[in-house]
Amino acid sequence: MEAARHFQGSWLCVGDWPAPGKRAALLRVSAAPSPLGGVSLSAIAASSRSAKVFRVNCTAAAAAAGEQLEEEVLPDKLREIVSLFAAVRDQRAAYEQLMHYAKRLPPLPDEHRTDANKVVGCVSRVWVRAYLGDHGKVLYEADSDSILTKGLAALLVEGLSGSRPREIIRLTPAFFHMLGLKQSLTPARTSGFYNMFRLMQKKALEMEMDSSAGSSPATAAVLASPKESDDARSAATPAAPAASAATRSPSTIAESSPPASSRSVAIEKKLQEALAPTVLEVEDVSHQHAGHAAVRGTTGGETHFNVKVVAAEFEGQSVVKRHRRVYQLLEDELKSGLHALSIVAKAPSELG
Amino acid sequence: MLTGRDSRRFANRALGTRFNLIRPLNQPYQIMACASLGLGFIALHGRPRACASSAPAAAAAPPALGDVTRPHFPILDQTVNGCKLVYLDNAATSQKPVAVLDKLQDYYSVYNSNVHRGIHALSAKATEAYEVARQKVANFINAETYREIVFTRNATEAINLVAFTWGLSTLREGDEVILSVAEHHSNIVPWQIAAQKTGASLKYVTLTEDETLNVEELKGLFTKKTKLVSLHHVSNTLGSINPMQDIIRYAHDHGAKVLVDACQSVPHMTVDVRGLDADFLVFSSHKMCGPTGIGVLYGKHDMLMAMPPFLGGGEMISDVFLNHSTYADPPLRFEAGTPAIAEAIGLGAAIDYLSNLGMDNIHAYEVELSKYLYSKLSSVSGVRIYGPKSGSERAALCAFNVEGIHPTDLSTFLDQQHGVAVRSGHHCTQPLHRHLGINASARASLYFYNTKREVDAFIDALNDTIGFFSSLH
Repeated sequence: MEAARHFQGSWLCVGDWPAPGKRAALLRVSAAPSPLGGVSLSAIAASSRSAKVFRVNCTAAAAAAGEQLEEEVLPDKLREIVSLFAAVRDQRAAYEQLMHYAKRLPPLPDEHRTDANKVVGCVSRVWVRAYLGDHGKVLYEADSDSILTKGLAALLVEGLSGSRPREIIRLTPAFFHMLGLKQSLTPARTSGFYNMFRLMQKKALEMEMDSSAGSSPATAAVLASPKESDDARSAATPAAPAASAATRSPSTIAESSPPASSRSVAIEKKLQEALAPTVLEVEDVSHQHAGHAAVRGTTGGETHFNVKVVAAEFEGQSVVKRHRRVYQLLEDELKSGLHALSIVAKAPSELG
Repeated sequence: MLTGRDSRRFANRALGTRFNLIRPLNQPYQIMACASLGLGFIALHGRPRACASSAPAAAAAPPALGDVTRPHFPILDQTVNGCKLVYLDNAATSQKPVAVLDKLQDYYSVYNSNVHRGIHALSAKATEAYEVARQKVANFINAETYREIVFTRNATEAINLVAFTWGLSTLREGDEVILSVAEHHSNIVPWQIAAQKTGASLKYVTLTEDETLNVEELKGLFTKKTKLVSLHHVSNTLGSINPMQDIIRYAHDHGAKVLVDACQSVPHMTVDVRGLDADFLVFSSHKMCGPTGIGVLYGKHDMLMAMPPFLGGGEMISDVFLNHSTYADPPLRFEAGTPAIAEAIGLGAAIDYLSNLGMDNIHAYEVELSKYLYSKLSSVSGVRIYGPKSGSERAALCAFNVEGIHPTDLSTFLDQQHGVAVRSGHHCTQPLHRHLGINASARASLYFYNTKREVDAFIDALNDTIGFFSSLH
């Protein structure tokens, strides 16, 4: 079953399991279709001394995930490209198609051919660069010294550019098979293609984290000292408390690693992994509470969030229980400066 | 609906690969046979793709070694991606003749048993066959005695053995080891590790303008501290052949030992370790029609006698006590544990097969093939071949690049569209590629079972490939 294949081999990071207070265990998921019609997930605790096997029957969740897979939403342009390649019968024509794409790809300036932009594990040399365009959409550029690889990169660049980071991050590599190129590429090339795709996703994630980290302190500064809005961006704004929070935050962001400073994405990630929700919306509303006494003395912004989550797990649970679950998942955040969560937690049957 | 290639492939599988449906070529055809086999559907017309290897054979000439030996290698008789296989990656590994395959089968079916330890009939037979193989290797390279032949897993392990035993016990801080920029990684990395551990330093000879080893420069690198020179006999990328006898004489005059990496020479020509006066010489079985998993370290008897063990365990001991053990004499001192018995016997069979053909015959044929390959390849426009021009003798291999086409794209297309197998990448000679200023290259390498017809097929396929990639530029 699709869903079983989807979960098979993935890692589940669970907070306070197998014992409360211990560090998170990494569980390797082994999935098989369950006689009940869903998916039986076994997870083996990899980091504990005795390998314990925890079995979870995820009928509803799997069904939801399965549906998600079958109708995986590809960005429009990528969908177009996939159907174009899927229609190509002759291998030679497939190569020609790839080369057409390669020709269309503008060359990447030397300054972007950095190690950070290099795709690892490729038989040829490939570089991918991502940057934010208008309206928070990700734009890609790429290049390679091999024309077939360049064609593959171009395919991805054209297919993914102009999408939002979240759309890109949520994609699975399932669309590879639909391209029908597998027989025409060596295994090394195929894995190179996979690595290209993953690098693009990673860069989209970085864009996402940078943009949500960047917004709060700037907004805090603007709202706190409206008269000095022109000076708000300079770090040397005098003494208003929110402004000092703004002064502190750029350096905090510069010093701390991205995950710590981008709470919004961390929250999303934890809820995504633990609940497999069908709807998940996390909104940073810290700026609305900027003048609040509790905010002073914490890392700039990222103190107040609205969370809307719809998950099958909540079916039949009381509202209190659902909220407790979310709080439990975000325990670390709550201990380190997350001040308040406004939670809307529903079961899929309650949407309407 | 199946296109020409798919229908051919399907039919080939259905009817067995020996039934070559690729001919006749230039007419569309229907596979009516499918209906009669009850397969339930009829394949449609397709335009059959022109495989380079399907060109009709030239008029009969005196049988070339390649034609004579071809029937001994059934693996070469297959189709790949709808085209006849043209295997030109022999520098990476060679194919095995039926004689060797039979010997391997024979061993496991009839007398498989552990060697050196038992007294019973099977064990005696296995031991004898194993030691006879060792003697065959000794004879093949004209070693003085079988005691100078150590079986290893491959040439890489053989070099590591020398680096970790002779190297670690002999090299001191400030000592020097001379290598070259064209060495295979297996003849660089073990020395880097040994140098790091001992404080010795490594020096690298570079190339002449002809892209061969700069022997003058090599001579200039010798100092009182030079303890070892470790060089390739024949380069797997440049195709150059080094004057090892001269180099060894010079090294000995300066008090240095020499290790010869003979991986690309022993399979293709007569190599005489006493004629060369090599101190160490290594080669792998799988490049000379033998099975994988076995290689040879030749070492002069007094060198081996002075070397401490490499791996510890059974076979390499004399007596074992709780607080110490005494070690066997070479070669067993360096062969811990149960050896690759079948593989050694297989290597012996390969040596018999090659000796039967005659190494001089093999060499003469390959010299012809080498000239033919070089001249045809160099006449393709845009091709740049690395290594010496064909005036001086070259091995039957060419590493090359085509302007504007990445070698991986080239070899992918050659394989997918024409069934031609060449290698692309750095061929385990990254420093050499860096020295030549390139990232990667393609390489076609021949052995005595290849033919000029196959070289033609390769060139036709190459022209088609270049045409394809250039057409869309």
